Amino acid sequence: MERKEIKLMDGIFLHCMKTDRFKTNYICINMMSRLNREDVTKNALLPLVLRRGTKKYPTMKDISIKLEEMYGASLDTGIDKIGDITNTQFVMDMISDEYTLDSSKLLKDGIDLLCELLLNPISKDGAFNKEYVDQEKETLKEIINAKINDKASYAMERSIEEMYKNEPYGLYKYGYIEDLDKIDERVLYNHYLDVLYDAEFHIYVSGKFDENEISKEFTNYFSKVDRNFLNWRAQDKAFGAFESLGDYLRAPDVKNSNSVVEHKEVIQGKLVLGYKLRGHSAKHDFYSMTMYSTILGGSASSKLFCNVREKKSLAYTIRSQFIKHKGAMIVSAGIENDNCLLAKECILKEIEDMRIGEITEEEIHDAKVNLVTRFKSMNDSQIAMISWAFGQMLFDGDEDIQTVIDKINAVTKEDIMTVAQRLEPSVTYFLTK
Amino acid sequence: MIQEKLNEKVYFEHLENGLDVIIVPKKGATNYYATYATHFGSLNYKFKAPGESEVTVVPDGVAHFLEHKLFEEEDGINALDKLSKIGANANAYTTFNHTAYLFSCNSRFDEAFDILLKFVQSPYLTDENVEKEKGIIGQEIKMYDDDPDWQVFFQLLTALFGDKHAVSKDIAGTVETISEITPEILYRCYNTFYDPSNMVIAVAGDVEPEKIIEKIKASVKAQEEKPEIERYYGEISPTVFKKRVENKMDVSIPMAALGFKDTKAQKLRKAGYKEDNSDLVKRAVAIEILLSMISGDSSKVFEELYSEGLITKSIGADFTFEEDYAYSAFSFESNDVDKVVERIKSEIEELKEKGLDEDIFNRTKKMLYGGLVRTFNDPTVAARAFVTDYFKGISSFEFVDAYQNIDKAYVESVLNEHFNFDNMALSVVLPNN
Repeated sequence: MERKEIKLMDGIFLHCMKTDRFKTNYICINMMSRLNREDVTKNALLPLVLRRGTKKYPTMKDISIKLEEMYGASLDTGIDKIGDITNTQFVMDMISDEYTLDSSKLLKDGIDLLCELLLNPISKDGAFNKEYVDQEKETLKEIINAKINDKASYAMERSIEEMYKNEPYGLYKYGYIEDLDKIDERVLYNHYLDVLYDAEFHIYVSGKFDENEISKEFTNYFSKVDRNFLNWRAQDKAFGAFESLGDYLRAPDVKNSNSVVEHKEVIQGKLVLGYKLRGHSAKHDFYSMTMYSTILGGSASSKLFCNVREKKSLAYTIRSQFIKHKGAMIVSAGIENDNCLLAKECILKEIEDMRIGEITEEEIHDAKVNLVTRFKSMNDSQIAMISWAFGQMLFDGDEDIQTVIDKINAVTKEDIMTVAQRLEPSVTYFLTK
Repeated sequence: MIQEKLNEKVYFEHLENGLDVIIVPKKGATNYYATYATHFGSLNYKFKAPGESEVTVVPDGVAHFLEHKLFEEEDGINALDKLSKIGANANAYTTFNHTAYLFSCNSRFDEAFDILLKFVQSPYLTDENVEKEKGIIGQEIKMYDDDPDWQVFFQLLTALFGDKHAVSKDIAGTVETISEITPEILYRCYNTFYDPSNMVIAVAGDVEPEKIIEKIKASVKAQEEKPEIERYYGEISPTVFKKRVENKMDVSIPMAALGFKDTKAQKLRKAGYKEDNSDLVKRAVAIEILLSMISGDSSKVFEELYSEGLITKSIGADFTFEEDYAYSAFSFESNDVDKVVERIKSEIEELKEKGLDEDIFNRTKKMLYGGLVRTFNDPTVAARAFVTDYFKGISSFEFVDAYQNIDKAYVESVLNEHFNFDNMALSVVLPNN
């Protein structure tokens, strides 16, 4: 695969990932801005309104018809938190032109449709279409309320809220119902212009294409946008660096750990234990913490899987994960409602074993083998390669998969113990009946 | 036998011992994938083994229970662990009609494949390890009990087919039924269903088909192909069992599925994938096209319901056809489920009366064809599709021609007889408050 980064204009980058191994082409536009309480609901509402219609495709039906004509191309928008940044994604994929039954130019059409959606929405006199905004406020309300429908992700979401109570990352990415009354077609349109004004854009295209041709098309669209990019991410460490420096040597603050029990009509209890890595750096701690989390609860040979699930039969789902941009390590398990204390005790024993270095060479070896497979397998998925390249670009420039594998293989038991000893308990959350 | 479509070749081989092999070779792919599957799922609670005169009845959830236990090996090392140690990600799943063991890796394929071939052929079940698994599976069952989509789905199956047929049984059984499971019962099922003549192996990746076949011949026991197992599924309710089923859960919005029982698909089905099942494929394709035309994202139904705020996301629609039953289903979330049902019904009536629009028909065909092309993007996804379709008695490639060749008059005839309101049932999960 051939990779190339083209700067289209200040703060707008086109990342070309040329490959002829697939039958599809992908386009992914990432639009990054600051995450804060004031804008979180507007940010979530924005892509919902944008996908309702553009000047060229005024209704959702027009967009759907276009997608169907493009051999069922898919178009998706999404919103996510990357540390304290909010990232809005506009993603499309379509089959390569050689597999069409006529002479369609699907990638070109795709770029056109996606840019239309983002940059040429239906608007009039400094406002979005009122009907669209009103309807999408209702849609967003449903999305916010639907948080409870999947109990495992609800428990995870609630734990993160508790862990980052007074920080942007603790915000719910879909926002808050109480904000909706204050948002109308004009407020949202102004917000849209504000975001375009200084958002950082990273556009990824994967597949078979001519980079000069596509960069011309994107430039055409983006050159009409009123922008003044100040590179806020580079200037504002708190938002951009994915690090929490300064308190590296502080002793673990156990008192700060919070315990939350929430009652709902559930049949199974969901237990979550959240930890924060003191003085974390997404760049430097990634490899040791990824190894840590894989050994603790990242695979079928992990400590949690073997001991809490297989030996003690306490859970079916049990895993740990590491959120690199925030330095958070989170263990989650689905358990019997009455087993909370027992399960917690068993999980804590495994976490303590990690801390005192009860880690065998075999466990380290198994975790490395597991991770190497995982990283290599990204080569067969265009979207996985795009996500990885984007994530890497944000905090470390441009490591290729082989470099990542070499760094994983270089992690030692001491490295793992060092991060283990920097982990500070932050929340114990239990969702139960 | 070799089939070739969309620049892909697929090898099919039927061995003397009755085992079928499917190979999807892909030069240059990073990942390898292999699956070993048996025609044994949650539907098979009652059967007569070849050469026996007595009918055997086993507790619900046995196929799934066996899936969990087969990884256990006599040397005390779990096969999941063995695979994980050499960098293979292994997993298994049980459906209504089959159980599959699979792994993916990007190195040491031969070793991993040997482990798969061995552990599937060597069960090791003891009172102790069977007992231990009950706690784990119990938590898996409870996880699904809290999953509203799963509950809507099973309620619909019972409503359509009645509670006397195996399709209404939960795949994992219940905490009560699995408590009756013993090593003897598991061995009995293993010996009946895990016979080469009842199984299939599929492999995908950068492999040489001849070598794979040789390896399989050397590792799977030689014997004469056995006759078919006689399977009894229980009785399907002659009419719709219940027109409407409701339940309450902790959800934010009513969730619903509207199903149409199909009576023709299983009559079209002939045993074995080498038989000509083109009529069955044609029917499935026709119903998929119709579902999309009735309620897809560009349909009138979707447009109206969305703009009236009655739905806030796409309406799901699927046609399912298995050995003893078939149905189509629309799934959606709405605060006014009955209004959505009415709208879908009136659209069906209108289409029946006016016939299908030629342009929309062609566009829909194009869209579904594009979806098929994507299936073959990733050899792993393709191999999974071939296995799933194998158990339906067809080759996934058959859909490629079917989507290109199907004509409007045929689809209209299916519209008139499949979407019969007498065969319709509704399943709803309502919010608690």
